[in-house]
Amino acid sequence: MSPATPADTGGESEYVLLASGEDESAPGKKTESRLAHYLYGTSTILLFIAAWYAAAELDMINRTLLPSPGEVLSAFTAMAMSGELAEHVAISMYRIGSGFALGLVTAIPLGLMIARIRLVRAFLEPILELIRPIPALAFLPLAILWFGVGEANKLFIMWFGTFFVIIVSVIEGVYNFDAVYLRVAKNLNANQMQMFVYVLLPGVVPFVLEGMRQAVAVSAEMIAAQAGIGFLILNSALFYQTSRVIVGIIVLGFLGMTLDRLLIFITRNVFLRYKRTDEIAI
Amino acid sequence: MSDLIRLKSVSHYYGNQCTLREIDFSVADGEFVCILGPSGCGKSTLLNILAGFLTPSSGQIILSARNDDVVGHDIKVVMQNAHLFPWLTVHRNVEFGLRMRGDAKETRDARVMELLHLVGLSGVESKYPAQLSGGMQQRVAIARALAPDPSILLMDEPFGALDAQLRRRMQAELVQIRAVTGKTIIFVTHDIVESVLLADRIVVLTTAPGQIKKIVSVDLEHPRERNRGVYDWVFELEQLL
Repeated sequence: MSPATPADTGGESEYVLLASGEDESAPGKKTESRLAHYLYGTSTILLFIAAWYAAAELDMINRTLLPSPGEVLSAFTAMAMSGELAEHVAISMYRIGSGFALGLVTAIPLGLMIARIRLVRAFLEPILELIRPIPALAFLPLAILWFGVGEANKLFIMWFGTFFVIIVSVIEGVYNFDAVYLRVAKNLNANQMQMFVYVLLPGVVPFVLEGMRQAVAVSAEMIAAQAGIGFLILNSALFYQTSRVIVGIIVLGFLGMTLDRLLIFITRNVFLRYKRTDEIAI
Repeated sequence: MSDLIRLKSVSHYYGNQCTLREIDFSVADGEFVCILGPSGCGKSTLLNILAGFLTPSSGQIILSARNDDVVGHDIKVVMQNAHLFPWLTVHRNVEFGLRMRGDAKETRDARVMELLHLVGLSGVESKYPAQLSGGMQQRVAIARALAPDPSILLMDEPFGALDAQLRRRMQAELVQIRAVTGKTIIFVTHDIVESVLLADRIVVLTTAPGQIKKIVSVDLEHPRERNRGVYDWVFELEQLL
């Protein structure tokens, strides 16, 4: 096999374009350094918890404002046992999922059209540029007025948060897409519609996945502001239940990380096929 | 032999700059024509015009096609870097043109098998392009271009990115493929030896603007080896360029 080529886009997108199983560097050495890598990372987290623990035990901080790790752990256990936590996580996941789905379904076709059809771009780009920098949460009060306090306003905010991130990556994806593929498709008698469906759409998948990773961060933010775990955090803070607040925050962190890892996993394995062939040495 | 395609004083300008001037030649049915010239001689412009990606600024291209005479429609291209769709398997890549025009699955499957056999790649249907070597990728690209059974196969320095040894093997295989299919081939290259090994006729272009310097007929028997006869031709062409 040919060596995996680093992505020319650099940085994060290497995940998209590198084949996981095909790196030829000596496997033994690789696992060893990866293990060390994990150990270093874990030790920093442990050190952080130790410092937190010491600060709490030595009464350096107000226990009400910052409970010790032990208290947080027992709060976590209690919430996990009662099923309360699972419920919040489920609600949050459901909202991330539906917001994402709605964001993808709307952003992908519109992004493709904006990037490819000059007239659509001329009409829509200015308004998108105007709305895009507005944080989704700025719309929260309005969304409540429009959609009430129920599910619809939350879905709107989630959609808003993910839509713009994904549409930008779709447009970028089309711009970065090697136009020669479109020529090849055209030469093979593909019409405009077929080029969209069979060439552009699969062609931008790596970029969409990259956009989705960014959207995960945005979703976590939205979740923190309202639904499920967000509600847990805000509500607990109102009652000075700081242990529960911290549990909520940590769970949110894990949720975000898990989703991110999941997307990286999908990118690496399912879309291994997207590895570009025109850069591969013979 | 009848002319399959005929270029009548085709010129092309980028703004005020002339890239191709008064290109006149024709290609007969079943002929193998190389377009030879140094880089910057307008080879790619000519290729893009023939493929239908560009329209000439002036002049005419007359294609005596079987179905219609839209330029590019009946001429299928093999790109320099294969450009197989990386998200499609070999099978899906080869049948792409057939799917676009709505052929039935049985027809497509049979054709894919036939073509992969022709290019010596039976058994790799379900692999993805990234899993193939450069030479194999280029063979799949040839199969993909041949699938809709075009009148003309247009090749843009298809072996330029391959190492010398592989290039020779691919050249020999192309001669074979041509012998089996009887396809008319227009082959763009800057490699003089390659053009002599492959072509019936060589259209020699000069630089800025691209003009036809000479059209030579190479009357050597196939298969051609790198011998005295071939190198005599190479020497003669070197004098021209």
